[in-house]
Amino acid sequence: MNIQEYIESGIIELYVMNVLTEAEQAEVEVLARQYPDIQLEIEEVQSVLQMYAQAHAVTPRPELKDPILDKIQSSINKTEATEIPESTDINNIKNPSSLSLSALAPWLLAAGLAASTFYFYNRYEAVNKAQKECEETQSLNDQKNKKAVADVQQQLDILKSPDTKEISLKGLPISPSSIATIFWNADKKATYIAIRNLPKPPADKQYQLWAIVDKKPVSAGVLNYDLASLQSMKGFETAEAFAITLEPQGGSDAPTLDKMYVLGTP
Amino acid sequence: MAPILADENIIDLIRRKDTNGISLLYDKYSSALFGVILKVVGSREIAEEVLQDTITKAWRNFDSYDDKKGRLFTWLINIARNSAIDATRRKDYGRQNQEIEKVVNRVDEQHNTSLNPETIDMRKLAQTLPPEYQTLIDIIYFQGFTQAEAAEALSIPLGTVKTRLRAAILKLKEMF
Repeated sequence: MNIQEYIESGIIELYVMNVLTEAEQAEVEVLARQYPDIQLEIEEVQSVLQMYAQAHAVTPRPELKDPILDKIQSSINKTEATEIPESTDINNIKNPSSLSLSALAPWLLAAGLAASTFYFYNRYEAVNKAQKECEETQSLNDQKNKKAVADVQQQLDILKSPDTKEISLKGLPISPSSIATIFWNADKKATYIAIRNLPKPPADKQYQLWAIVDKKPVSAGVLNYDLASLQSMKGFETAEAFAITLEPQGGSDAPTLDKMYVLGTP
Repeated sequence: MAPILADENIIDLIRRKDTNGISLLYDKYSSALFGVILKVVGSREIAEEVLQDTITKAWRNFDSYDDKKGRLFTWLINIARNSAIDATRRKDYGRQNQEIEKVVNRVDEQHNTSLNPETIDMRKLAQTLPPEYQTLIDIIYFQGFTQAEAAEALSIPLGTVKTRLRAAILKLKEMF
């Protein structure tokens, strides 16, 4: 195929002006991927035609903008309202009337036996129970301690790992003296954060950490402001940047950009 | 006026469902879109409706915009043009019934109504383009005429449409 001839034919212009049939359009797109000259020409024609359109610009009445944005905003609110999941699934609640008497009979018998032996058994049980509780508390404490030690050990291992990156998030104009440090291990999908000098959030607000992944913000969880030590956050395999914003209690689905306090890149 | 943001920032904001993005898109492109819409529908009142339609459609269907395939404005002008053509059909003065000659005349008349002071220089420049080129670009790019419709409207052979369009673009490339 003679690319120059193809370009000179005027088909690129028709493509950019969006008047080709779907088949013709697909052909141009396939060729554009194959031949950089065609892609380049598409971009140039788009650019020239954009300028031509701008040369014919007519400014709409300024009063027109707000109603359009309001309409968009209200359509968002509507979608959000309909997206709230139902709290209980009615279909999963079992129908109590399906329990028949015959099904209950063995239980009634057992209850009768238990009642008759209750008096004699009572004293023994009280002592036994106290001892059991004591043992349980101790075993629980042991478990808790073991887990805490294991967690700290795991944190230390990750922090010491040469694969862990230390990222400084620097204060933005809203709060220049704020700092946060992130320890991020992409292989282990581990993220820890320590915050410093972030202003105390109002009672109804909470700080939230975001990772920018493929140019999109992804929540890494909300921060416990009162926790002085490292906090473990959601892990990421890739991230272009990290940032903290102030959000309503419980966090948001998307960051409030004008309430961004610190930002940093790996 | 708010600073004009780069397309990629606007795209990024809208993809995050941040309405600041659509506000910035409006600031940057509403005039150019309104100019095109006005050419198609010919009435300011209807053009305002169509502009609203265009912006809300752009917001709603932003997932279908592929920045690898083309510029943001190219995508927007397609929405604007299609919405405008739909509006003319809806309002019972459809292009089908409308004499093509009248449309062409309207396009020509509007070359003389300069309305946006910011683009006045570019506008003057665009008007130095030979009239037969201007008309051809306008009816295809702004009005959405097919090759065949354009050939009929301008009484030129079908094959000439493409070659003349190419010549017009080359001329514009020199100018801008």
